[in-house]
Amino acid sequence: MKPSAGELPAARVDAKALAAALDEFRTALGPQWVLAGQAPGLSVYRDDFAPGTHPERAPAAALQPANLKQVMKALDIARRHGIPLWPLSSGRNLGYGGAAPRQAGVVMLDLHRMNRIVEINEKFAYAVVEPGVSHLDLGRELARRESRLVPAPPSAGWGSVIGNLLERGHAYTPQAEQFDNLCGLQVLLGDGTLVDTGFGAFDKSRVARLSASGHGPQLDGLFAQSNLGIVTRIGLWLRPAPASCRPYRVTLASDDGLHALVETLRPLVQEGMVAPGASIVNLEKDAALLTTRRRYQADEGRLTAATRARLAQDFKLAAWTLYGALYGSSALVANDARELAAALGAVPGARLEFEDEVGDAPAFALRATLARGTADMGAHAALDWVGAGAHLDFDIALAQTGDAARGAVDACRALCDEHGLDYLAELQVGPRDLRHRQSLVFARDNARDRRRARGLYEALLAAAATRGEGVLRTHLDFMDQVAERYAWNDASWLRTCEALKDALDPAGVLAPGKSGLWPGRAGRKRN
Amino acid sequence: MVMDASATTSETLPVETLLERLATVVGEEHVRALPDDARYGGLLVPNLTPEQRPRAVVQPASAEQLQQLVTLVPRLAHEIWTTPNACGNGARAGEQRRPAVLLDLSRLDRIVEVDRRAAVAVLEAGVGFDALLAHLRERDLPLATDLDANGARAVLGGLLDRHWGVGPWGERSAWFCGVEAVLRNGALLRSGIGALPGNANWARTRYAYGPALDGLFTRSALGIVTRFGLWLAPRPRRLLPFMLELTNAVALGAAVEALRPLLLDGTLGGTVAIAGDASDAALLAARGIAAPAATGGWRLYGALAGSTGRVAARWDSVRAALAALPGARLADEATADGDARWTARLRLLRGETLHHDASGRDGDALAFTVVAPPTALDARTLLRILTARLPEVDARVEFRQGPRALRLEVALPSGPRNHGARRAMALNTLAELVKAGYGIAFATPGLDDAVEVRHVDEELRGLHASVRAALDPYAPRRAAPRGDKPAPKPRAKKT
Repeated sequence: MKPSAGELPAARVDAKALAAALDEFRTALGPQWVLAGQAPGLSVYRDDFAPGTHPERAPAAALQPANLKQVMKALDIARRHGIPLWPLSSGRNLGYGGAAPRQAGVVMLDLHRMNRIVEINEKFAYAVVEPGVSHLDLGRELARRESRLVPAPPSAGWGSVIGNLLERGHAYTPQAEQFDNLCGLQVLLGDGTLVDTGFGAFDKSRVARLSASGHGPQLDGLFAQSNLGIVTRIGLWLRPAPASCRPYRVTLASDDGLHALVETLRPLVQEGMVAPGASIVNLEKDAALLTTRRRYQADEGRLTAATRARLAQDFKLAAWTLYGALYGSSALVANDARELAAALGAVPGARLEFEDEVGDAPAFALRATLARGTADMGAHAALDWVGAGAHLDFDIALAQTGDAARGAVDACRALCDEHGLDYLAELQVGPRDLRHRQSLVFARDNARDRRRARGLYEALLAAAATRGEGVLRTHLDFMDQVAERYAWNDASWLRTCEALKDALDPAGVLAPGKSGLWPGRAGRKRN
Repeated sequence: MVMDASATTSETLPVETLLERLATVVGEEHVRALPDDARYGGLLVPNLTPEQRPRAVVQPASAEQLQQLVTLVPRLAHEIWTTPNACGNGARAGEQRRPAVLLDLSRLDRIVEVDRRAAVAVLEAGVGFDALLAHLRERDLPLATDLDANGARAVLGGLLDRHWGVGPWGERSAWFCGVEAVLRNGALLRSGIGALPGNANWARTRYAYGPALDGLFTRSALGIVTRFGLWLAPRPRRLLPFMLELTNAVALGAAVEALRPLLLDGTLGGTVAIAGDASDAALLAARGIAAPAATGGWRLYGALAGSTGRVAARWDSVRAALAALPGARLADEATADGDARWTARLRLLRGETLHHDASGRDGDALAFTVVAPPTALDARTLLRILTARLPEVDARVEFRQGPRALRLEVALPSGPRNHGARRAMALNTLAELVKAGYGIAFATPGLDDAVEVRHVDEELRGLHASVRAALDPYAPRRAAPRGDKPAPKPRAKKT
């Protein structure tokens, strides 16, 4: 087992080599775009939400290239001098480490200035974007053009479209599985080769953004949650705006109906009536968007029944709320509304309400906005739940069954109680699975809270391992630990990924340790 | 593919010795010299000469035996060729550097799991469509899947070839979830959640942690898939198949335009097929039925699936878009009487295979699939190029239309006498199609390598080679390590 991230030593970088590289970086990018030493801009490359007490992982420098040519030059310089680079789209993935690298001493390759929306194609419903384009940027541009196309943003729209997609983020529209919307990427490999995947590799292809696979093996998956290349551009499938979109919610007064709700949803998901993007959210997570904990309960510990009742009453919340939307022609939406209501009759205590019936309910309004594909920052308000808050996110995949849902909810909530943090969770509905996503919200200026968050996270990882549940994404600090759990048959998956790492990044300079993948030259030790 | 008959040299192991060595792994009853019939040769590379064909066929019964074979065969100085079940799809031929051994995975034919509630299955590589259907029927499992007309073919073969079927579940790659594969270094790999010891959900969650490796094994020889996850669909409460007769290419183009928004917004899920006379006739011939007289027109086949109410609501939109097209006649199940083509397609759309042919005879055709934008102009351009480049050839031609792409599947009959000429004809056609901006998604092994060399740019071919070098200890070594190359200059933007 590798040391946990808090104990990771700084990257081994020769000081003379770094100095020489910085000189070359300045020449290639312009001195103002190379931050080093005491440059104030360098402080943004840190994880303000880091749990625990380990020291910050300060990078040695940061590069802010403006275009592909500069990225290629930067990589060339880094390779020649043996300088590890940590590519970054916008660094907004705050629950997973934000803009920080895994190790101190690396050089950040910040692509936020590459922010061109290269193309929006109305006829075939796609866009081509660079890494610095955020969901908010894309939404604004579509609105400016009065486009009929709808994007699929996550809960906080300020992050990079590419970054979110490559990290396999989740959206709240029928295109919820963001990675499935990828259609061709441009990627710079560690050896300096610039590759267009799919039909982008055919000369003058007119179908590069129309077919996700081209000739030969499908390679795009290699570059998700990985350090095998620097993605500099992607094709992104969008969705034509439906004739009708009717957001709804289904509320449960207690945990009792959760099992039946999941069982009822499954066939509706398989038939396409309940689209991926629907999500079952607990009261704490909804409440955190709308108020502060202290206003409702002074003491620590689990929210009391009385507190929960007051929150429910004040904000029209429920113990669990399924948020979703019906899409399609008016006739189809009307039919689906009838069928959904009939199906939910089997769920004890479930109450179905459509947008026009809900009234003034701000949590619903936020979810309806997301279901329509409008990027928003409302979810960021959850940080205020505990004052100057931070969050650490824990994602696991579950079978789409009532048993699996209740099992995970009960186990995770019990661990939250044990560690003194609130249980903020949602069950995101996938095509054949559920994703249990939990936000560990804690006060970032409180050392005890940070330790609690770390302790809880470690306990959640251990419990998931015991139950055989797969972690889908994780914070920088836990990447090795999670990767090493994917260890079936003598860790053949990880060994294969490592072999690919050494082949595609022979100098081992791209994001060492990302997702637990270390280059051979970093002293990887595996029996 | 460059065919080099001289690869079988006097230094090659005598076939008897080869068979003995292979039998040490699988038992002598599962090893034989390649029979002198069309089956195995034809399904790999059409019209191979005896010298070019694999020398032996081996049928392992387990992933463990396969692991032993992938390390043994190269030590015997032979290439590995593979086929899921020798019924005509999913085969991969290795380079022609050395004589070959064909690994036929027909004995890996277990249906490992079907989860009725989750609508997922885990299958071994050799499971055919008919076997899967029989399993579902015998257990009265209310599940459905996209099918090949030939029920003998491997379910995996269609996924590895990235073929599209027809109807609500037609885009097969969307139903693929998790693989177990033997790599060329002998390692047994599970992708995705399958890499988590003890996790039962590897056919339910498509993306797990870190890089996703499933796509590596499609359209490639980077590993030999032994089992895989497949998403099924609930048997629809209502299935509404429809046919649109199109009198000519103009009507066909209008239909493509009308269907595009319906496929793009999901009103019409999956894919539709648009078949010419020869394609429909071939489908009927496989069942021993004579085709009706050729019309020179086209027939569009599709279906809606779901609850009665959902199908009715969506049908209103589809019918409104298609019924008014000039030169088109819309038909439903009730009007199938007497039209053998429509009757056959109805069976397929309802989830029944049409015949069971384990001979792999379709391998005698040179086949390729072209990807084009789904527009009327592109449909007509595709047909113009085919007419000009493949004159006097009874090519079977069928379109598949999905949300963003129009795929043209072409099968060009070829035999020992005309194979060279037909191959040259096919390559010239492909060159013109690529020049027009189209992509080549699939080609039979006799064409596939040529497509890679001629039309895939140097950078992506280099990436393919690097990935292969990482996973296959017997891959040809590159002249210089890629890491020693200077950084290339950025290429012209393509987008």
